[in-house]
Amino acid sequence: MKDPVIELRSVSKFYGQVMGLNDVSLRFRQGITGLLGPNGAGKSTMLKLITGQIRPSKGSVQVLGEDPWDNPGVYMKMGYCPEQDAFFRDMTGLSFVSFCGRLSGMGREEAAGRALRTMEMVGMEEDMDRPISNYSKGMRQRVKMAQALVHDPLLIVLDEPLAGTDPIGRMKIIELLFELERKGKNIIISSHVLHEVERMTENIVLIDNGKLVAEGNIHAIRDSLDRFPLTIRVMTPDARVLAGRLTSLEEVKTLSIGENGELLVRTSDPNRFYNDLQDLVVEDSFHIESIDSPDDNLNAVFEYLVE
Amino acid sequence: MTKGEEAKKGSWYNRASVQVARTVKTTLINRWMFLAVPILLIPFFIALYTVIDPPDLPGQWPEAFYTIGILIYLQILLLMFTLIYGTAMLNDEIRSRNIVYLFTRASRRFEVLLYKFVGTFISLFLLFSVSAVLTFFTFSLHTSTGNMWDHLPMLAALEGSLALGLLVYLALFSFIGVIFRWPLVAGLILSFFWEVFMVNIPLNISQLTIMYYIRSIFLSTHMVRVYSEGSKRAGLSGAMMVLLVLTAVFLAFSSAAISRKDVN
Repeated sequence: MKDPVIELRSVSKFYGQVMGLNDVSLRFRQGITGLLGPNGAGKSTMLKLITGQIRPSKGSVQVLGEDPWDNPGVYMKMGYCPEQDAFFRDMTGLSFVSFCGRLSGMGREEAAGRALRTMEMVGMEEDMDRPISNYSKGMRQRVKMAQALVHDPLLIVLDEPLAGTDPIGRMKIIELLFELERKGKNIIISSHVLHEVERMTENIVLIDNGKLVAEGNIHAIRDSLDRFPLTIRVMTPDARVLAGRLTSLEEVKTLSIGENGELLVRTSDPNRFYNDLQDLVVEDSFHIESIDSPDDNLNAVFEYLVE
Repeated sequence: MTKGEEAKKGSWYNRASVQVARTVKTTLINRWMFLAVPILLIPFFIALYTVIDPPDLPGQWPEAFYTIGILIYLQILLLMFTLIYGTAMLNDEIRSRNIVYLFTRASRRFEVLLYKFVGTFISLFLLFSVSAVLTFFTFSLHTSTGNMWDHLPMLAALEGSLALGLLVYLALFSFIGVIFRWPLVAGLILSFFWEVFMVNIPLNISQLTIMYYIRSIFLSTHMVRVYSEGSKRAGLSGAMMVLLVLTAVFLAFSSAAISRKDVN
C-alpha cells in the first residue's frame, strides 16, 4: 500500500471548552478524497490542522511525511483554498495570484507567467485584470482556486471550493480537478453538498460532531451498513407477479409498488438478492427493464451514518 | 555557490522583497493617511505659523525645534504611530483573514513578521523624516539665529533618535499586538503611563524607560544639550546599544509568540 498523503494520529482539537475534533485517526490516500460533513462537523478544523494554521491539542498530523506547522517545506508542496472570502481587495485577480506565486518564492516574471496560465486554467482569463472587489462570488472562488494552484503543488486542499459558483463555473472546477488528478495531484475537497463530491470521487471521509464517522469507498461503506436495508428499484411490467415470487426470499425485508409501477425491494443483503433475482429471471422468464438502487449514493449513506 | 543554493537565495529574496514592498505600499497608501499625514505635519504647521506670524519667541528657533523634537516628535507622535502600526502589523492581516495566504506559503511565520516589521519601519521613517526635514527648514527661515547649516546636526540627531525609536517601539508593540487581546489598551497604558510619565521624573528610575535612551540620542549633539538644561542622558553608543538590543529582544519575543499562535 502506498504511503498516505496525510495522516492524523489520535488528533483532538479544543477551542477552550468547545471541541472541534475528537480523537480522529485517519489516512488520506492518493487521488481525490471528499471530506464530508454537515456545517459545524469539524471539516474546516481538520483542514486547518492539515494546513498548519492551528495545532492539535492532542495527537499529531503528518502531511507528505512532515509536521505541517510553520513548515515551508510542506507549504511549497501544498496549495490551500480557504473557505473564507478573504482577499487583498486592492489587487486585481491576476496580481493577487501573481503575488501568491511570489510568496512561494518565484521571481517577478515567473510568477506573472504562472499566474496567467493558472487564471486561464480556472477560466478567469477574461476578467483577470479587474479588481477582486468587483468580482462575483463565483469569480472569487475561482481566483482562490488559482492561488492554490499557482505554484504547481503536489497536494491541493480545497475548503468548500464550489460554494457560490454557478453551474458552468462548477462544471469547470470539477473538470479541472479531474485533470489535476490525472496529472498525479492529490486533492482533498471538503463540502457539505454531497452530490457535488459524489461526481468527483468515490473516496470519502465522513465526519460529524468532530468525530470520524466513516472513511473509504462510498459503495464499500454502503455495503458495510448491514443494519440499514438497501432499496432496490426494479422496473418491470410484471411487478406484482415478481413481488409474489420475491416474498419467499429470506433477504427481502419489504416489498412495495412505486408511483411509476416499479417494484421497490428493501433488502439487507443486496449481493444475495441480485443472485436470487437473476435465478428467478432465468427460471420464470421475467422481463426486467432496469435495476438500480436509489439508496446507493452519498446522500443516503450520509443520512444513515449521521442521523 | 551551487545552483540549488542560488535558487534558494533567489527564492528568499523574492519572498522578502514582495512582502516588504507590499507592506510599504499598504502603509503609505490607505485611507488613514488622510488623517495620519496632517497629524505628522503638526510640527511643520507650528513652524510655518512662527514664520508667517512671528511670535515673541523667548529664545531662538533652534530651541523651538528642540522643544518640538522632544515633546511632539518623540513623546507623542513616535509613541502614537508606533503603537497604532506596531500592534496592527499582523493583527490587521489576522482580522481580514488574509494571514492564511502569508502563513501557508514558503515563509516561516517569524519571516512574515520580520518583513512586515521592515516594511512598516521604512514607511514610518519616510513619513517622519519628511515631516522633520520640513519642520527644520521652515524654522530655519527665521534669519535671526545664524546659518541654518550650522544647526544641521540637530536635525541629524532627531532623525537618528526617530529611527531607533521606530525600531524599538515597533518591535515592542508588535509583541504586544501578538500576545494581548486588546493590544491598543495595553500599549496606551505602557506608552503614556510608563514611558512618558516616568521619563520626565528627574530620578534614576527614568533610566528604566525606553524613551530615556531615545531622548539621549537626540541630546547627544552639543547644540541640543544647550537647551536641555542638564537633563540626564546616556552616552550615545550606550543608548544605541540598549535600543538595538531591546529591538532584537522584542522581535525575538514576538516571533516566538506568533510561531506558537493558532490563526483562525
